Amino acid sequence: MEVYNKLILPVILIALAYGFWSSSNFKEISSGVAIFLFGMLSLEQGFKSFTGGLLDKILKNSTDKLYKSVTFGIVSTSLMQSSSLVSVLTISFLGAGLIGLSQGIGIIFGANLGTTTGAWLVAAYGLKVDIAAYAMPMLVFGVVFIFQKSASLKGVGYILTGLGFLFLGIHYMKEGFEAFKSAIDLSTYAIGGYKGLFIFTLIGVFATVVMQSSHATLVLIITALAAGQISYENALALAIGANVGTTITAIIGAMSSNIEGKRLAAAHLIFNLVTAFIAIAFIYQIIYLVELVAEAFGVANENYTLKLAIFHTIFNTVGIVVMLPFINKLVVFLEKTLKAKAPIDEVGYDRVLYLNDSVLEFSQSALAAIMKETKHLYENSFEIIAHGLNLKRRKIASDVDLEVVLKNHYAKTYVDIEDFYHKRIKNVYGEIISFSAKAQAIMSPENIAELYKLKLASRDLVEAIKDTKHLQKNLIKYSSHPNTYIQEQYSNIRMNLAELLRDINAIATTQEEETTLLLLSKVRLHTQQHDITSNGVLDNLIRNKLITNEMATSLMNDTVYAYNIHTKLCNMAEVLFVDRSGDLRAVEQDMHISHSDITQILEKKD
Amino acid sequence: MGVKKFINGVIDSLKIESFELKGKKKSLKTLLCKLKKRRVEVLKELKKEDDEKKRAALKEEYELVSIHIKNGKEKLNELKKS
Repeated sequence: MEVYNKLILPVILIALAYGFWSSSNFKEISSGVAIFLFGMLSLEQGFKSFTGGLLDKILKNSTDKLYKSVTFGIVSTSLMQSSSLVSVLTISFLGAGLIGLSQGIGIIFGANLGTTTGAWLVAAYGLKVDIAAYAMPMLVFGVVFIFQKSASLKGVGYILTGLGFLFLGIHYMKEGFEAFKSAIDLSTYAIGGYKGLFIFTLIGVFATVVMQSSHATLVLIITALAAGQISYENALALAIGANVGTTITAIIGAMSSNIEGKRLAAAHLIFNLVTAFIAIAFIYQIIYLVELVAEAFGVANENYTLKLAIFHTIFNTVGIVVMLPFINKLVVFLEKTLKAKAPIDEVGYDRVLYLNDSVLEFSQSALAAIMKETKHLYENSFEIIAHGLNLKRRKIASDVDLEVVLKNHYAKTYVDIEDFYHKRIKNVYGEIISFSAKAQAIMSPENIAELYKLKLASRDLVEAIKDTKHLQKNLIKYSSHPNTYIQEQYSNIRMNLAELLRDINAIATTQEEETTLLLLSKVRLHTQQHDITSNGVLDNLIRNKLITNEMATSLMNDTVYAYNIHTKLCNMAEVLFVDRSGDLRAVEQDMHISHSDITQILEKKD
Repeated sequence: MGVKKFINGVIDSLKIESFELKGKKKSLKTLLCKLKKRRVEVLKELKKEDDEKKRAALKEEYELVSIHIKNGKEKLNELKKS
């Protein structure tokens, strides 16, 4: 980017200024391109307004199989007429861990084919119909909608103005090339053979990298071809180049993404390079195939613009057919070559895994990334709390009897929770909070409410660790105390917390909603059941002078810490592990056990 | 007229049941089925179990499942009325 800003950009600006000064037709074509690109931006902005709902849901539900991913790429790009938006959306969802790399690659393959519909539309209708006549009403209605309060209407407004500008841009490009024709004949610069093929492919790459839109390059090629300013063969080479150049958008988008996003951008580049190589190597065979298809569909012999659209579709289809069988090998290759940084650095400090700027493109992916990161925080917190109680994490998650688990100590001496907190929690928690503040800016009120719950879940985890730290001191002191009464109480606290951790782990790993519901209720019930300040155990110990006053104070405080750990982990589990997107979301609250239910069960037990 | 108001008007005039409500009812019915199945399983295990500690845990689970079934049925009736 540095080189681009320092060298290439000034050169482009000077060249443009010279072009405007020397030719009014060049000015018209350039302004057409500029208006077209502005239309693309507006269109993308409009579609982004709807990504918080429909598009995200479709993307999540329609990419579980490769053919579905490819179809999604084709359909979404055809509808939105922007492979760039689909690439950025895919990178964002991949960065948030919502889809896998192979699904992402499938979408990108599909997007490559979907983008060819643009060439068809422009070649078939854009040049024949006076589309500028449609552009004006679209712009007027679009702007009216943009000024509305409703986000959906604003989105529609951006889409309409986007389309309006696209049409207007095509009109100016068409007019410019038509006028250019009478002044200068660019077709005299046509170069034949493989030499011309390579040169014009490179020009196509360069033009697309500069404009960052293969769509714009293609429209420019088609309008120039329609005006006879470039030869058919050179137009094909330019189209091949545009296909390679378009990968720049994904590469730029992946720069701010995690390793998965970078792998996807690399896959996009590899796919488009292979497709370009095939197209160049078999150019004459593909041209022959184009002739056959054109003849079959009754395309006039001299209708080169439609033939270009056919060529564009054929060579992208060939690319997909050739590359699809190797998609898994490509994933393995990319995972081997582009390796993720270790989540924990040399000093032992944990890093965030899912929070990166690419997920900030869309509110849904930002929310999903924060959810995943909070689950990562939970994993670390679980480990610290388990070790803080001198328990082995693996044993808690197993089926081994809890009494055996309690005897199987994690370490000979109790672990330093403070050190663990600084290395495994503080950084991740801080990143979640600061990232949430950034993400909030792009979120709807509903998403902000969800985000708030996630922030509370993170805070609950951190506080549960702090409570464990406070509890740990007396756990060490009284676990081997000669007073068997106090020893028994602390042993019970440890046992209850071990059981809590096992239940929370089961909630986190189960797929059965009834199991989640029952375990959450069990945790709530046990939270009350084990509260010795309210169940009379503590009073009994004091009244019968079985423990000293100092022990009673410690036990009372530590019971509160244990109670808080129970409550906080239960609240956190409800936010992180209950499916909040399902239909049960609204009724789940009514399904939970109430305080009176808990009292009733506890009374029965007594 | 707001978009939501308009959609609600269309749903009312065409007498189409809200998809959201339909989805909730269906999910709740499925959940109730699973809970009832679980209750039968717990009851079977309870009859077989001799260990006091395990019996207490199973009894507790039975109580919890029963409360959830009761709450779920109430919610389902509420949804049916709306």
